[in-house]
Amino acid sequence: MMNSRLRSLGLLLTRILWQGLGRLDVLATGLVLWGVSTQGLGAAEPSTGLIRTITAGGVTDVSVTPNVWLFVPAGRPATPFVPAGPFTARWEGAISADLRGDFTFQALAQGALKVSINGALALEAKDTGPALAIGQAVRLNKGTNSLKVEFTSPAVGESMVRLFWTNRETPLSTLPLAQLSHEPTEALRRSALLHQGRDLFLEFRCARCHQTPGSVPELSMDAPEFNGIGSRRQADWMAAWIRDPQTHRAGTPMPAMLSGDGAAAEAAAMAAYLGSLKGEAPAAAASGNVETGKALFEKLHCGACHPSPGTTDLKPHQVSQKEVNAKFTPGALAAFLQKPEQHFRWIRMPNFKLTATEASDLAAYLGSVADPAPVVDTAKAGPDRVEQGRKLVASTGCLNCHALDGVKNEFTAKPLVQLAPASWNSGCLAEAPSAGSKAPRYTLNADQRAALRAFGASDRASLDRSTTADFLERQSVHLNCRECHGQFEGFPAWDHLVGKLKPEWATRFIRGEIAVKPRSWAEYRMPAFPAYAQGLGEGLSTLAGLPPTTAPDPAPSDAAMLAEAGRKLAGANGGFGCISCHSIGEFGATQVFEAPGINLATSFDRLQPDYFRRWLRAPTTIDPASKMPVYFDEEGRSPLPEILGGDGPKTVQAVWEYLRLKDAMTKPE
Amino acid sequence: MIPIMMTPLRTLASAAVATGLLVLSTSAAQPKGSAFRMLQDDFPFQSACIGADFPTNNVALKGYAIRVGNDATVLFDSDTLRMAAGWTGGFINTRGVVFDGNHGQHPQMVGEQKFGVGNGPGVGIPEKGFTDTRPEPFGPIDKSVGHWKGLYVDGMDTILSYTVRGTMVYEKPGSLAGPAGVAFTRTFRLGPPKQGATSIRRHTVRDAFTIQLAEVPDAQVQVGLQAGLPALVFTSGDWSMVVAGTALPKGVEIKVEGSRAFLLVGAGVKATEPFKVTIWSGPKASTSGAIDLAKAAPSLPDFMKGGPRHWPETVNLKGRLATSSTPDGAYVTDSITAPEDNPWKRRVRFGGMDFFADGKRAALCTHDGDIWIVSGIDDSLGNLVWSRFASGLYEPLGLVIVKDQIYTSGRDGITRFVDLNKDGEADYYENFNNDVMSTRGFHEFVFDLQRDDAGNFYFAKANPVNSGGSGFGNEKASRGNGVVCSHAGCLFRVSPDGKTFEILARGFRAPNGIGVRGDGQVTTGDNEGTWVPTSPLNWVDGKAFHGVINSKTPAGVPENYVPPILWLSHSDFCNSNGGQVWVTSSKWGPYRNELLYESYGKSSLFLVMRQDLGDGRQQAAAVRFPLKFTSSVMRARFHPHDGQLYVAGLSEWQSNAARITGFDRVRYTGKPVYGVNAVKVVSDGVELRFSQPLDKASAEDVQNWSGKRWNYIRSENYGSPEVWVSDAKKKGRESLDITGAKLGKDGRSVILKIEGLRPVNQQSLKWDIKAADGTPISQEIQQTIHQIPGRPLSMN
Repeated sequence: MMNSRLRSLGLLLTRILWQGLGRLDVLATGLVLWGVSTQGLGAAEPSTGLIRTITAGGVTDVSVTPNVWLFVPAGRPATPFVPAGPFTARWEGAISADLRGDFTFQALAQGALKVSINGALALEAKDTGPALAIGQAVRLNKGTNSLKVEFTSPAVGESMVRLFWTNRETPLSTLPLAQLSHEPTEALRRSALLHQGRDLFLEFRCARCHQTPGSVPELSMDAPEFNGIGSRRQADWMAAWIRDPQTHRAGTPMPAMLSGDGAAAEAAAMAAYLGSLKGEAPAAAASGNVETGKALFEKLHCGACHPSPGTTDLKPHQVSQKEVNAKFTPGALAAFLQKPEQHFRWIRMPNFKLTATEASDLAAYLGSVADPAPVVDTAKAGPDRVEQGRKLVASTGCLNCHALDGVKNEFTAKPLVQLAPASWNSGCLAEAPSAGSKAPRYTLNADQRAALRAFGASDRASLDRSTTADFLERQSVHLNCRECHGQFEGFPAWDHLVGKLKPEWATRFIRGEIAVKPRSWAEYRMPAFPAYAQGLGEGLSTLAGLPPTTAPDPAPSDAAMLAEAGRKLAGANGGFGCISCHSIGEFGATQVFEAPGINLATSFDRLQPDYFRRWLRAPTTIDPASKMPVYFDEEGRSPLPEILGGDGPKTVQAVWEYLRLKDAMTKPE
Repeated sequence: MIPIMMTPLRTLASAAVATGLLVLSTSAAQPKGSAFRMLQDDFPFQSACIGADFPTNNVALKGYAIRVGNDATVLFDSDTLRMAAGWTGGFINTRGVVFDGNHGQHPQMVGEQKFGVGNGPGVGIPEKGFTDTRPEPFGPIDKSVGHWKGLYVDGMDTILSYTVRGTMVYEKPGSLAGPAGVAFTRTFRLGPPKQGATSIRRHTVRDAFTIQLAEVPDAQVQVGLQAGLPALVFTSGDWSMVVAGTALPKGVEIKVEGSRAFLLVGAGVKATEPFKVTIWSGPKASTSGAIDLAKAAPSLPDFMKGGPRHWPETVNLKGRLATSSTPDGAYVTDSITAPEDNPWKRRVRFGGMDFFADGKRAALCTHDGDIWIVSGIDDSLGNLVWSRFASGLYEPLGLVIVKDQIYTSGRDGITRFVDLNKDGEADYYENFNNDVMSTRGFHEFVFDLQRDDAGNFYFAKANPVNSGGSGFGNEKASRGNGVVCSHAGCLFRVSPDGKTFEILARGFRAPNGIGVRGDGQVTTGDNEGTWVPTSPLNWVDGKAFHGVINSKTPAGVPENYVPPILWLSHSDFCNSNGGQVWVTSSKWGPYRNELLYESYGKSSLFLVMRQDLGDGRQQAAAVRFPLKFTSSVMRARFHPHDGQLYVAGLSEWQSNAARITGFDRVRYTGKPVYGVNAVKVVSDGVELRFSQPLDKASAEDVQNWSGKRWNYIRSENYGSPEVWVSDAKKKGRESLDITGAKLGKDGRSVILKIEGLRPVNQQSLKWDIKAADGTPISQEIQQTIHQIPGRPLSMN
């Protein structure tokens, strides 16, 4: 039986990995947080997602995964914790049904797949190609039913699994996330600790000092560059920050590098030096409009990641803005808001493509509600102090993370390979650093240290293995994707995004390269995360068992005929009337009201064909809150028999062929 | 002899009809490529809220754009009896919700405006000017000053009729063309109709009155005879305007005061013949040519005898039987094929329907402004003949037939139609009651038209929702969003004679459909939006307020908010309502005296199962008839003879309706009905009664029953998320803990024991059981629980 601590941890990990309650700082206080958040949930609430066990080359990795989905490109590892090569995967947990009923499981699989419900075989499939394998009907009881899926990869080549189900009332759909659950196991707990340790190792940029070869993208994560920083940050604030970063932002990966009696003076000297590093001065601050800025703060949902001004209640994932007056030099805040990644490529703050006016309005608002800037010591630091600062910056390790041209980094630390597991409780990881220790001070808690030690005790090969699914799962938490997606009205919920978007489009969109705003009516705007875009964009596919590049989807030979039928279907005169709510290229929607729709000329580039088919067939099965009507009947027939004989799949394909024309789509009736 | 003014346009249309070819010229304002003819050039008028170019903000809220020949149009406002504008070179554009679908605009004149009269009364008392005495600048003006009676259609002529200070005025707007261009004519005839209403009696004016002719600011005016005609000649630079009278009776004068030109009809005027006012504007050099035009003698067609047919063709179609069926086979749908494809390219979107006394024919109005009559309603539906009866109406969405006379409700009120010459087309569009106010708001739909046994009429009016869908009457955002008037979001009752109009209930947003029981008990639906969290079924008791607050909601009223007897979730039961209908038929299965609910958005019909709470309150549940309809389910009536249910609908806003319109019959086949027919909340669960004995084992297996529950948040926001009962911050539905299912002694009732049963906005129950004879019964209900019998009221 499960002990409660284990259960809590499993639940926590599920939430961290999938529902996204937390980040580093949540990880830090996770168990406590979980204790709080169980209140009101009722003891019976299961952990969502399934336990997935993957074994390759004699190594086993256990994790919680949202669904029975997997995509592993040829020659790549299935997860960062197992080597590349043939593998087996097993999903275990429970699937719940509203009412006793007969369900049929269907799957696409590259490899051999076996699905069992309550111990009975529901589906066997092998190397299906694009045609779904269909299992025999199995009876699901009301409530939970045990679900076990076993998969064996092909000896070579790519592996993939996508599992679907259907019954009398439910059109073919992926298994609903909310109906999948699991009981955490000891193996999961152990594995989760390792996963968390690796994540901390990457987020804290440990390898910046303890160097190691590796191909994981986050190994190249940077920190704010020092070139010209004196034009952007106030020296006094830098002094305070260097002295004790945690008091300014709990959970920051920036450690306190100075200790002892001289720390304050040293920090001041370093700040004086950094303050002397002048670069291009920010454009003279246009005096922004505070009220407009406030409206913008609300419109853009800045409050998802930053506490609303005036609230003292700082959620663990939020970054306070109360020090902006002290921190930024005049004009620098507006410049930062316009291009946050300019001096810090892997910054979490995204680029909202603010105009100069918007940036100055927002800066004016933030300045108006932040603490007043302290009176700055106008006495200029003498050259000696600046020189002392320069030496400290070069010798203290700052330059391991912060780029600075022309200054030689004089700090060295042991490469990772020399850090034997036994040593992972001293130095940076010491529970209480000794007074004279030169080790940087992190404020890791016991769980975080345990996680890092678990990672240290591993072969650390996971630093050389990455998957975009893993990247997506971790970074979507760090970047607070779910703080907007799924929280606010009008945002596509996070759960619906996985497996929805074509990776090429998603990557470009997240990178900020798509000029057309899909939800043109929305006041909010999707900001750009340039450094993260590719990993997130591809991860949205691979996590869903879809390839990182959209699978070929050639037009059928009768595409022109179908597209014309699709055009008719899109019209209000004898069709579904798509044009009522959706614009099509330059043709405006005719009756946009209450539920505007996305411009259909963008849909072909945006949507995975499989997602589109399921969406058009039964939108509310994917998103119960959608205003998009369900046109097809229970058997999937179109209500318009005069078009393509009312054949459901053909009707859907016709709309897809029409969408394929993109900007060349002609106006429906 | 009927002196009809034949215009080239009319000649063309008549010739086309005569040869069986409809080669109609396309109006310049018609959107390119549209399959529909939204504006007609073979019919004289279109009613809508219509704007003219001047004076500033000149809008006829209940406007008639009337074709007067020579490609000229006048705009008449029936609220103010004001000839608001005249223009040449076009008609109106197709902006607007029933035309091009635009949300937030209304049609505007197309062409060159020649005269205008600004907002306000168009008729008046001489000593009082034209002051607007209405408490709000909407609705009809003081009836003792002027009252709209209706209009006659005679070929391409339109004859307006109204009273001014007790004198009956008939007016035919027209035009004359000559070298000076086009002049507008207003030909008047005063006096009451003779008995039998085929001609007009001699009349002596008792109280003097005025009729506005034009507003002409910043011009010089010359008053006097021009070529023997009393006239005003306004000049300004190279421009001039002529307002000239022809055959004016003694005591009728053309006057000018300030910038207003008007007609003064003095007390004691004896009127026996028509007289005319000609209005022209153009280059000063053409002034004398305009006066020449005015010399033509006034004449009126013999409009009281009824005009020729506009639409002699019919559309002949076959219906289809048994297009869908309930799983038990007890109910099937038959489709009465709609004339979507018709020679006039009119868009057909049914918004109201009723039967003639013979039961073989029905009349249906379309949101697009037409009335169609279909004959051939019989068992086989094999010979459906559709013909057109009336056109040009202002968005009719309700229709009722009383003593074989058609009444429609539209944005302009209730209109009654008279076919004077019994040729199958309406000749007289009579104002039955126009008291309802109307602003520019595109969303101020007037919904439905029902009657009780005492003959009272009922209809509802929507709030002027803004173009995005939230909030009301934001004139700033768009001129077409309208303003909140006192009638916005109200339900009205009109007396059987049409003379008394009253607000019966308040607090609706967009109640697209009501239900009226014979005894006058009214129900309404409403559409999710501001203050409406999801689709409600309201039980109107006169004192209650139904939830939607706007800026004209009287103080104290919101305190009387009474929740509906049933909520229906927008995601799966009803996202947008239609009407309701009481089962008055004993030939329609076991549901006599029950209430049916129509869902426009889900194109579905529901049985409403009510539970009386004993204190005047009720709570209810709904179960769907699993049938497929041709379009949405919006207006339903029982047939006077065959006793079956007929359902009409359209597709215009969010709906899963397959076609833009449909007319179906829901026919009871006589086979046994398998399903739930009563739902009652009991102290620790819910009792469901079924129409057939149940299989005990399947009925008592809790595995075959499931349920969920959730609440809504009524607020100013658009609609509501579904939230947990235990924590309104959490979105979604919570599962019910059904701990037992017990078959009652009658073998047809099941009592479900539900752990933690509590009052809730929405509870759903779903089952997959068997009848005693093995027939599967798989259904889902949604219900609202206001109170659990036997528990204290404080629970909710």
